[in-house]
Amino acid sequence: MKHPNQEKQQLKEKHTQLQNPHRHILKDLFWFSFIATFFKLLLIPAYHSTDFEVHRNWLALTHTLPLSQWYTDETSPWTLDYPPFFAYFERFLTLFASLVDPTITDLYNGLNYKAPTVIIFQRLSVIASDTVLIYSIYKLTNNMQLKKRFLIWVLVVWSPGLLIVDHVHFQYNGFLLGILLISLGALQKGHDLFGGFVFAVLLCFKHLFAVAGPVYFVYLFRHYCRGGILRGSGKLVTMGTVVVGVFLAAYGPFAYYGQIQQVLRRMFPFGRGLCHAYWAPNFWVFYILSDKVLAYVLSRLGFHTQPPTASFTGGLVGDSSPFSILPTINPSVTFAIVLLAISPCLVKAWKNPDPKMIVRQVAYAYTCGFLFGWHVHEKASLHFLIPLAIVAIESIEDARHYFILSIVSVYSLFPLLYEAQEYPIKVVLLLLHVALMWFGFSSQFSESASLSKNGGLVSRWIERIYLVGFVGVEVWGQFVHPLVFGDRLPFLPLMMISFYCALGMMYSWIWQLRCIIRLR
Amino acid sequence: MTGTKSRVGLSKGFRQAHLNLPGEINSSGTLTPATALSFSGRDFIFHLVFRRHRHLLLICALTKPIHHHYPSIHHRRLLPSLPALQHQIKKTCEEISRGQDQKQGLKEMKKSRVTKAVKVEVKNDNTRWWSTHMGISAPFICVSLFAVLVRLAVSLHPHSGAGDPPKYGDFEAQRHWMEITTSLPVNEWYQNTTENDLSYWGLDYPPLTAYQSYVHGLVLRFFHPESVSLYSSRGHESYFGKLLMRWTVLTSDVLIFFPAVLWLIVAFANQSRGHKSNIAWHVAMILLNPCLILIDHGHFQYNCISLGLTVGAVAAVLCDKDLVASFLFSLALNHKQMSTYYAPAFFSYLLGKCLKRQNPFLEVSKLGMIVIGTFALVWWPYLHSRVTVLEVLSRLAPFERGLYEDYVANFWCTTSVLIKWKRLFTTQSLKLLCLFLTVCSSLPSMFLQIRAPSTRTFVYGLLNSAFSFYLFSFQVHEKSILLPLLPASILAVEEPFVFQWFTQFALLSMFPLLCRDKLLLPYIALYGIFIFVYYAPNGKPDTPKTRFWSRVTLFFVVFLLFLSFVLHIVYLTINPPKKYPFLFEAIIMLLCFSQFVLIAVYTNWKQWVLSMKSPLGSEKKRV
Repeated sequence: MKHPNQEKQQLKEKHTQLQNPHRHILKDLFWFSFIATFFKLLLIPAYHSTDFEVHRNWLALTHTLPLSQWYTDETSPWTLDYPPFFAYFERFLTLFASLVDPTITDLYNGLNYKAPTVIIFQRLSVIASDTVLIYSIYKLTNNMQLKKRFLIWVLVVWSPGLLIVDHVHFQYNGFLLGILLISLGALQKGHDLFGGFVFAVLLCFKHLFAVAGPVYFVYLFRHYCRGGILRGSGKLVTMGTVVVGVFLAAYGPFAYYGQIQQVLRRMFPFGRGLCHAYWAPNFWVFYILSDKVLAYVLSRLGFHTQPPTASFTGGLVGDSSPFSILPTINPSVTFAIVLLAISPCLVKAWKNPDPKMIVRQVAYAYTCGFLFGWHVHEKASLHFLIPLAIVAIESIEDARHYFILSIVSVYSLFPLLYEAQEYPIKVVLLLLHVALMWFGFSSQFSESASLSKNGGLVSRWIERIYLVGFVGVEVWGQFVHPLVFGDRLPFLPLMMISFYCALGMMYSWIWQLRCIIRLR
Repeated sequence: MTGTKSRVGLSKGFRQAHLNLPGEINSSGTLTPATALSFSGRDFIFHLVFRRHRHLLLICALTKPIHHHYPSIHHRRLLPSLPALQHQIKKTCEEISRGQDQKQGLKEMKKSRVTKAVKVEVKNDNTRWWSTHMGISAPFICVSLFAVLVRLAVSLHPHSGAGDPPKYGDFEAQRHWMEITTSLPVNEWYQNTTENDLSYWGLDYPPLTAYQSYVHGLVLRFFHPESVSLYSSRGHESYFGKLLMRWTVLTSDVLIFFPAVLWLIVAFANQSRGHKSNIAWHVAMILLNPCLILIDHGHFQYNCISLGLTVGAVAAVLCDKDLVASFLFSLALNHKQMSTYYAPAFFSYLLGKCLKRQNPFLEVSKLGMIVIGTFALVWWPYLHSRVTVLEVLSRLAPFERGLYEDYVANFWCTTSVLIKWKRLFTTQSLKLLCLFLTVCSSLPSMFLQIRAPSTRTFVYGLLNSAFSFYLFSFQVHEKSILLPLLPASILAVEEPFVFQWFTQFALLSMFPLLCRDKLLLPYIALYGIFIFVYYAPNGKPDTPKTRFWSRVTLFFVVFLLFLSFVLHIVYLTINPPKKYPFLFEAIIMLLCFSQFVLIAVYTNWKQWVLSMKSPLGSEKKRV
């Protein structure tokens, strides 16, 4: 029953909402993030990878050793290989860790420590550090429409990729991506200096983000350092000072001890192979597979082929080629290809530095880095999946692309959680994400005629077949393969996932490239 | 407001049908958003009929401004046939004209809160828009996937009695039943034999539980034979065995409880109680009930099956399918004898309804046949002799286990602080006393149902009878609070505050139990999820805030919340004095008992008020 009082109350509420929209936005965002947080709490006892011990070791190492030995210590095989800011961050965490349980920060007794205290502490540290992501997303969306805002929050705050990688597998990606999003948000709003500063900070947290460095450089050079030679160079100097200052703060102490060489050697272990143990779904999957196929065909035709002596997932480069027919790839080649792939975007950024396009351009750069980079991890797909969420609601085309990309990307993370206990969790996470995206995008674009005319969110028949194919790949890998082959060829299902997801990644890359070239 | 927005998009360009309508709609010709809005402010009654191309739209919304009901148009599941619709339009127009002359008729309609929103597409080329917008399916799919996810995450945590020999806990009991049922013939399941030691977790639930254990046992035997092998598997706790057990609970939940809730929600939507924008919220309130998840997927039990069957029965009652309802409820009774808590409500409602019909005897005997038939079916293997039946029955009534268990927040346990019931009376006289008090306390609710059976008061009846059993019956366990909690969650749309309050104290009453199971972390997380989902943006139905939250009540609410928070902390951190080792449990029990009694009194009063208000009962509801 309706009471007049109640109506008044509602009107009043509406009035306060209008008066203070930011408070209201924060309230809603808190709602989204707390639901996520409580769910993350539930995941605490789930499986965690060796990365958990890696980070525990870093805690111990930064707590017990003086700064000069951080990058030289070899007590544990999991040596420190992130830039200095991350080491400082770990040092900051040890302030609390040593209070919770001194064994966590013990360099020797803490090795492979598995007590509930360390698990809860480290998991909570990831959950707490996600605050940065929440803050960045608040900054990015506080001027948007309610519906768009909610959709972006669903895509970022409830991202299944971040849940799988950070809160089950164990890493701090949410925190790092939060820093990236703060920087992108600042650029979008025209605060170029701050954006550049934050990006420099990010690079000193995790150097893998440097792939977008060229885009940042060109954009800031053209957008920030405008206004004549004098003013422009003045701004260039300002920006340069800020960036150099950040790098000094990070690397200065180590330069003081004369360890820059050692730090860089740790950060860039080119001794690793072209691919990770589980091939990330990128271009090199096709390269390796075509090499295999060619070798097979040629040997069938009677040509003599040398079977490869080295593995492409590990071992030292240069000793022998892991390929039998195609030329060997070394880090400098991949570097050149990545630069070449980014170049159209650089040209665009040079010609027309547009704050509206910067998110797409940065995401595109990370896509190129992911597709053509050296020793890429499958987790790196989050680097462009999360930023692209911000532009996914701009048009129906964006939504369609994001829908497919996000399924591909999350599915490619599945092999990370290989234990039976987490199997249903990852599957239901993906299903829920698909359902939320489907209903969210559909209601967002329901008014636009193109959605209903062109047959919904997944319009092309080839896309439909591709998406249905995921079910086939999963069913094969989980059920049919063990029945047919038993324990033989254990890598075949993984290879299939890599190959199948790589198709989607290539599609996404081409789509993004086209989008960047086409849009003004 | 999203509802208003979609409404505007919808009514653009809709034209009025060629029907004789009174008032301003007739004169306005085209119905623009503006006219629709101006109507919503003036009166609470709307009957709009308009037509566009070949779409026909009919909205009759009573007692609430139209924009509250507008989202309901997206709901396309309740399409009547075309003649039925024409009939409805005619009736509606008559009602309008009558309503304008006779204020009395309107008032009556207001009272019954009939709300109907039907969209009919005679031939629609644009179905996708509707299906993807805001039906029942979208919120239900999303919420239930999230609920499955939460259940999966809770099942990562320890179960009751993990690594605690020699008797372990409920997990071992369920596993042992699977072991027994898959290894022994049916007639030995309830017998004390050399193979089946009844003192070690003997089967003490009705046969349907045994069959369920048998089916699950077969699954376990197929994938992991060691976990259910006779004798050798006692206390079996392997990674894969535990996982399979967890998955059996999850699949039973998804296969029984979830569809039942879906049916219930559809039935609710048909009745149009509450608005459709609350569907997601309502589903979440039922599916994300922290108590049920913690007990089933944390502690380890199969309450989801018997409660799911009960929800199915409630949905059947709401849909007027009494025979299906009695069948489903009989199944629920045969899965857990605790379902008897609901029996008075089902019995009195169905009886009252039969008495209202032309031939009461026939109706009653039809229902009786169904119930007896279901029972005979389930008990078939034991029906060949009286001895076996009595054997099973004696297993089901564990009177030797005492008046109450641990510190349960019911009448007997709470008053035993002052009156030592167990010393004053023999078990036999206590049994009778329990029976007497339980029946007495559930009589008012039953009487109201028999007098004026209505679907609206039926759920209150369920809650009241479950409460009277929880508070006064013999051998009540902390977990039994799940039974009154279920109808309360069904009532969440009508009584949001009561439901939330009840859930909080139900959780608190199980806190010592869950602490023993090492489920503190999921307890906190689920409590948080529940509270946040309860306060979801645009989720909760509006409550008359100004009236309810007077200063005094607000003070008590805050005070009690603070008290329960302090109790949690104290229970976790401080050791009780040696003289009273269960002091904190007793305080928790006292607090919970007082709140339960308050809620029970309120819901009884509410049921009384509601059934007094609509003396014609359910007959009025069926438009």
